[in-house]
Parts: sequence; structure tokens; C-alpha cells
Amino acid sequence: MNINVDSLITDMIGAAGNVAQSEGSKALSYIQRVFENEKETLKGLCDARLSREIDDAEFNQELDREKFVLEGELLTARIMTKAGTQKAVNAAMDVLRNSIRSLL
Amino acid sequence: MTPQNQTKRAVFLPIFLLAFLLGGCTVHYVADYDASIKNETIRVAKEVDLFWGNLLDTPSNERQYDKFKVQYNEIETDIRGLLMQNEIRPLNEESTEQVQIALKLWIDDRTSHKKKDSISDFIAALHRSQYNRLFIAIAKGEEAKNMSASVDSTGGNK
Repeated sequence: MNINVDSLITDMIGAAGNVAQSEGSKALSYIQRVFENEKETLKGLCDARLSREIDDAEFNQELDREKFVLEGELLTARIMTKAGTQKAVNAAMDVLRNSIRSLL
Repeated sequence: MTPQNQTKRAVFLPIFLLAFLLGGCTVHYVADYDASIKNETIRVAKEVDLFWGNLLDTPSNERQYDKFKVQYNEIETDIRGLLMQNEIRPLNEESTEQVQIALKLWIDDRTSHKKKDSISDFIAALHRSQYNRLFIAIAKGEEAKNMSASVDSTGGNK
């Protein structure tokens, strides 16, 4: 009953890498979409200021609010990254666990 | 114990120990997914959206604070409840921070409405959209904790 450590480590890296890559691209797509939406909002704000629909004080106040909203949206990307890392590490551990079980 | 049994023991014991240790070896960086909190987030989001919808349906010269103060109170209480539900969960700092932002914006809106006693169409529509984006982010953040589901790039389930 032997365990091929090199092969096991390669499999663990492969499992973690696949999950990390997939989860990472989801977080990246999410961030891109958040900034696309932000672009529209900022354009609307600038148009409103230029057409004098809002004054300087309101414009600055709304920019401050936007910062909070953007921060709130980007916190989701941080959750996605943490959850992705969790999935990747656990995928590697699953490979190790299953490998040991198969030898018992 | 025969030498043969001693050899078996020497081989199997570390493997059993390792398997035992690995049995509980999963890492946790985020809170466990809670569908009830995601549903509560969506419920509060709908309540907030209805508030802005009603306000926008009211002619701008009739948008005095007093007409909306009950709804402001109810929604503030619901956001505080959501904050509490998030705050008590371990490994949940980001979601908690998101709801704190929603609460801050809500209190700012209430204070500003009370002070000015009116809200323009532009500001009402903009704030409606901001809460919508924020609550979607909170719900997606919760969904991202669902380890059994595959979440696509838009944050929805595949």
C-alpha cells in the first residue's frame, strides 16, 4: 500500500487551480459589470449637474453616496473571492482525503 | 504481538490518524450560506423599492416628510433587523458592512427629507436605483456563500 506523493500533489494543485480559475473569473466579470453600471450612473449625475437639475452641493453629496454604493457592491466581490478560495482549498483537501480513503 | 502485526500497525496507524484528521479538515473563510437571510434581503429590498415607487407617484409638491415618516420608521427597523441577523454570524464582516451602508444611506435620506421637506424626481429615482444595486449586491454576496451552487458571472445560479 503506497501513496504516490508527487502524483497526489499534482492532482491537488489541479483541483484547486480549476476551482480558483473558475471562481476568479466570476468575481472579475462581476466587478466589470459593477463598473459598467457605475459609468451609467455617473453619466446621469454629470448630465443633471450640467443641465442645472441639481446644484453643486447636491452633486457632491450624490458623488459621496455613489462611493458608498460602489463600496457596498465591491464587498460582494470580496465575498466571492473568499468563497472561491474556500472552495479551491477544500477541493484540494478532497483529493487528498479521497486518495487516502482509496488506499484504506 | 507478532513482528508482522507490528509492521501492519506501524503502517496503518498513521494513515488512520491522517484520515481522521482530514475528516474534519475543511477551511472556512466565509459564513455558511443562509437562504432565509437572502430572502429577508429581497423582502427589505422590495419594501424600499415600493417606498420610492409611492414617493415618485406622489406629486412633488405633496411629498412632505410627515406623509412618509411611518414608512421611514418601518423600513429603518427592517434594515436594522437585517443588520442584526448579519452581525451575529461569524465570518460575515463584508455582508454586515454592506447592510451598514444601506442603513447609513437610509438614515441620510430620512434626515435630508425631514430637513428639506421635499425630494425631487431626479434624486428619488437615483436613490431608488442605488438601493436596488446595493440590495442586489447583498443578495449576491449571500448567494456566493452557497458552496453547493455554481454561481455564474452575473451572480445567479447556473
